[in-house]
Amino acid sequence: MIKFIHCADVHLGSKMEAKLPKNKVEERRREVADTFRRMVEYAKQEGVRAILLVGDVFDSDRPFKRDKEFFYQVVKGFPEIDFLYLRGNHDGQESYTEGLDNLKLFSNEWTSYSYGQVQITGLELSPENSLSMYSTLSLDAGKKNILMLHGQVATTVGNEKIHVGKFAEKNIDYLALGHIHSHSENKLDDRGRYAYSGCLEGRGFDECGEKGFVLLEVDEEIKSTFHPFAKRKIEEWEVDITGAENAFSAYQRVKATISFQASNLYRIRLKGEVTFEKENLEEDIARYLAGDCYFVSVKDKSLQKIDPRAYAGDISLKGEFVRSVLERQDWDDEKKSKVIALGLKALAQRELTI
Amino acid sequence: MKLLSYHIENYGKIHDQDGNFSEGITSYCEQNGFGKSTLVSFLKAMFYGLASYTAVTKGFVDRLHYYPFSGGKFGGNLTFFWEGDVYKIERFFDKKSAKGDECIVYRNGEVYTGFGEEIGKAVFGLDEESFQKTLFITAEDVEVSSTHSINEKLNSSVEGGLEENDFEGAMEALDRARKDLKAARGSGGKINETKTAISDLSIQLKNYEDMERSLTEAYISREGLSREVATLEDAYQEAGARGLVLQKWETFDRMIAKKKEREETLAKWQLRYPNGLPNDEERKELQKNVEEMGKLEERLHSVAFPSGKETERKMLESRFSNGIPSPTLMNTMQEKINRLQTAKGERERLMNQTLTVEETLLKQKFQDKKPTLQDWQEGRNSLEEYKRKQALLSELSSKLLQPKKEEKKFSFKTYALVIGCALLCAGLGLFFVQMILGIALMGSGVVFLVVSLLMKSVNADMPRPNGDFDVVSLQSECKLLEEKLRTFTIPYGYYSEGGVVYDFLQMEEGFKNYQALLEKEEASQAQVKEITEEMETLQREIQLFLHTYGERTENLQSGLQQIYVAIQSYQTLTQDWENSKREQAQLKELYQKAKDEVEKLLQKYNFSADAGTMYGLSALNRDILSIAHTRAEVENLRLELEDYQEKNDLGERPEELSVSAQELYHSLSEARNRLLDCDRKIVDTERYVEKKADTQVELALAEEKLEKQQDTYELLMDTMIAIENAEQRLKDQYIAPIKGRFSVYVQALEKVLDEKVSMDKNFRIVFERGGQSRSDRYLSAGEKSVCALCMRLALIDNMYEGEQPFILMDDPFVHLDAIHLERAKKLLHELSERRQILYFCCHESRKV
Repeated sequence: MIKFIHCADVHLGSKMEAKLPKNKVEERRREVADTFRRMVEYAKQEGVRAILLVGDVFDSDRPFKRDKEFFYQVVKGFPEIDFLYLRGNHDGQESYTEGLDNLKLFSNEWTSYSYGQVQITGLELSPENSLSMYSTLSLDAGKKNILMLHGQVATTVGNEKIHVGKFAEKNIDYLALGHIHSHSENKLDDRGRYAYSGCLEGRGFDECGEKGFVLLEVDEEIKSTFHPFAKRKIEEWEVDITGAENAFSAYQRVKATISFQASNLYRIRLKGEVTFEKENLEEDIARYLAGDCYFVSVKDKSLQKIDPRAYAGDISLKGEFVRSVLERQDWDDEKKSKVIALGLKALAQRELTI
Repeated sequence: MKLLSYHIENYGKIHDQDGNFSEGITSYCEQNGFGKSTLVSFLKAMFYGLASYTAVTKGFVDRLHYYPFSGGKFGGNLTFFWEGDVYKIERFFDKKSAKGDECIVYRNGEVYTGFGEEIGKAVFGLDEESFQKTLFITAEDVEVSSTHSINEKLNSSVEGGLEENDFEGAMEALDRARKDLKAARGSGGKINETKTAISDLSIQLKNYEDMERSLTEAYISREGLSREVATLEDAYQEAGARGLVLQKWETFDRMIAKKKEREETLAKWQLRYPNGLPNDEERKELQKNVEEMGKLEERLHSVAFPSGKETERKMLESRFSNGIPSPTLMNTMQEKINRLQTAKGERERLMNQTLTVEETLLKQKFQDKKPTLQDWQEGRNSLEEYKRKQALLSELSSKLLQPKKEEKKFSFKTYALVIGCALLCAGLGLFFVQMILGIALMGSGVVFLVVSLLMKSVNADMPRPNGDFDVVSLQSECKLLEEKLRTFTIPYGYYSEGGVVYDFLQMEEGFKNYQALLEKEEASQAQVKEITEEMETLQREIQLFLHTYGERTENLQSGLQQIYVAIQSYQTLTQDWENSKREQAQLKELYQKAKDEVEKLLQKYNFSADAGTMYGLSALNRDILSIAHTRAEVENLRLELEDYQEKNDLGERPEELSVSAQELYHSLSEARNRLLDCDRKIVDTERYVEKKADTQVELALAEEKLEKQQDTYELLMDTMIAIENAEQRLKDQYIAPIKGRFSVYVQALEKVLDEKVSMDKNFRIVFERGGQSRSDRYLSAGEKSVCALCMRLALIDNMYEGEQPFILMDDPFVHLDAIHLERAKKLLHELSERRQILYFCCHESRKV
């Protein structure tokens, strides 16, 4: 049995999208690199023969010297592992002038590397080959064929698009894809399947869920197993705080809903209707949760509950105000809720903290 | 409500004045200066008091203006009927400050505090300003507007409840918050701050992006430099390789030069030795002979008799010129010395012979005064006599005296005497050994002797109980004899308990011993003399012998020993001297033989005589070795040259380098430094550009903040509009009736204003004239005063549903023409049917 790792979208040197504090941005940047290094160490422990880097190892066409040096050092540090590096849309212009025996590259023409009966073939997509690649691909049916491509799975052809249907019946056993940052695996045809490994570490709240790589164990068959490997998981939750009496009560709802992990990052959207004044609710809940996780962002989308009946007989300016707002047809409920909350506070002569 | 009466103590020009008010209209039409305005001010002051003033207070000040001209208490009282009760307000004012005012309210004759401090507000539901805008109507104040107090009153009237919300306060708070976000003018406010921050961050981000773009050039530049370094490295390696070959050629050249130099050295050697060099055997033989010669020389030197020893030998030879003393003689001398030593010892022993204690005592007793023969003869005679008489006395005494008592007395005295003598003797004996003990014993002996003598004398003096003259006589004689004997023995230390007889015998024995001791000492002295003479003889003989062999020492044994040593040295030196002479002769013979062999070889090769020495031989050997070594070197160099040429493949000599490896190395170092600089710049720039992500986050946060602020701003605006709308809606509920009442009153007074008059929430009148909406500014003075009157009446109608307050009119129709004045008068009469009106004017034409 021979083992490979299918990994993509490491994005070394990438900025963080989660609007983290400065110190955590730097820490996360280091963690992205560290997770890549840990994955290679894992590969060594598991006797992995080659790591398939399916695009976007770097976040930039011109990666920083520091990131390149880090990558080269890792590659040099593990000579027993081949690094099959296929450039993606983010690192397309990167040129590797350092000749490393265990760093195998691809081009905009089909390139293959053989490991016994396993043949790994890859192509770096370009406008020139985006149409022709389907017809120029020729694979030996007698071998275990792994294909590497970086692009968006589509049902049409075009630049940076991969029409997987057109790769059916091409003797592909496993189509290793990069570009989409979440893991997924689907059937390609009777023989093979295609999969995105996803990225190694989530960098923002648009990259929630488990992140890692796919371990390929090739024997008679190709067995693929997704390994969550990220140091931290990013999670997004929606919590209904209807009925909460105050900020702490709302926090307790959140705690009851989510099992927090100290290492993870969370975005929490509050929904529902509350009767208490929600001033600084986001900050208050975030402060309560600060010790429960690595980072939390709270977005309050809950509504201030207004009962029109309570103001029906109110002859005061307050009653008139609430009635007039509730009658507005051009405002949605959220807007009405906010206007009423603010107006009542102003009419009650309470300090307005904006 | 109805005002009933008043009393003015002092107020302005009015002094101690009372007045009553009738129902309906109470009209005061008097000329100017009568005091109408003073009374109006008084009535108002009763309800609202007078404002305090200070030196800096500007404008018309009622308290100052109406302060009594003639002094006295400033104020008065006012009685009115309201809601079924009669109230009386009694107020007196301080000159300047309201703090000094006095105010008491009575209800139905009793003090009442239900109005609190603000009586006017409590009664009318209006503050002073609102009172002036409604219930107080003048010709000058034609402004039509609402106040907060009026609004509250209207609202309360309309809805029947109290307004708890402060519209203006809420609007102000919202407006403050709005302005906090965005100032109405200028660039103040948080939104602008955030926009500025966003702008700054955008510029900063652009800088980062510019720097990032510049990195591309830096990367390209780096690649160029990297290639240059690689090219130079190749050239340097090539130059290095060629330089290496050239270096080998240079080494090869140096090796040839060295070989040539060694060959020249060899040729020089051959010139130095034209007859050639001895072969190994000859050289060994030469070596052997030269070495032999050296050794023989050394041995000759070593066997030569040392001069020191020779001197010593000669001195000894002179000393023993008469021959060496025989061993027998030496032994005789030694025996004499021994005898001398022995005699010396004997003599010393005899001379140092010591006496025993007894002998010493004897010598001490008899040395100074020896008893003569006559003394002895007398002593013996006395003794005999004493014995005889004592025997006789014993016989007689046995008859007269009880023997026991006598014995006892005699025994005790005798014992004391014996002990005394014994102690004296022992003390004398010990005196020479232990002086102090001896003296002590002798002292004790003397004491005992004295005691014994005293006892004797006592006994002698005692009368006998049964005395007999013979006995006494005998005793006396015995006593005399005894004393005589004692006189003889005691000086020699013989006195004991044993009695005088015993002591005499002891002395006699002691003297015999003394005489024997004297004889013994004489014999010993004779022996000493004899030995001394023998010693003197031996001394002389030995010294004579020693002098003969040169020894002058007093120590005879040492002198004899020195002679022994000298004999031995002389014999040894003589033996050594003879041996040396013999050995030298043998060695000289061997030396000459070796020398002959050496000279023979030197002659063969025409070597100088130096070559026959060890130094010359060493030089020859060095030369031989050098020649052999040079010869070997030449051969080795030849082989090395061949080997070097073959190993380094030195076929054809390459051309010299156009650019030296050193120059290339310099260029390479320079290029590497430039690459390093470039890397450093890239790293610095990357480090700088790394902050771009932070700035992006900051920018995103700022944009988010701006969006939030703008949302909040919009929210504030919407809220303000909503509250304003609510306020308007609320007002609309009471403006309509006010407008209705206004129209009624206007209809009664002024037809022209009746058409298309509208009213805003603050009761500002807008009317249409010439197709355009116009404010009340465009009305004539008369029309304005009509509007003001109608508006006040409409407000009063709406504010008070139940009991109507009085209306105070201070000549309000000044600006009306006759037609309108009549209408107004008519209207007043109609109004006075439902409420009390106090009307003041100064002209008969306006009197109602």
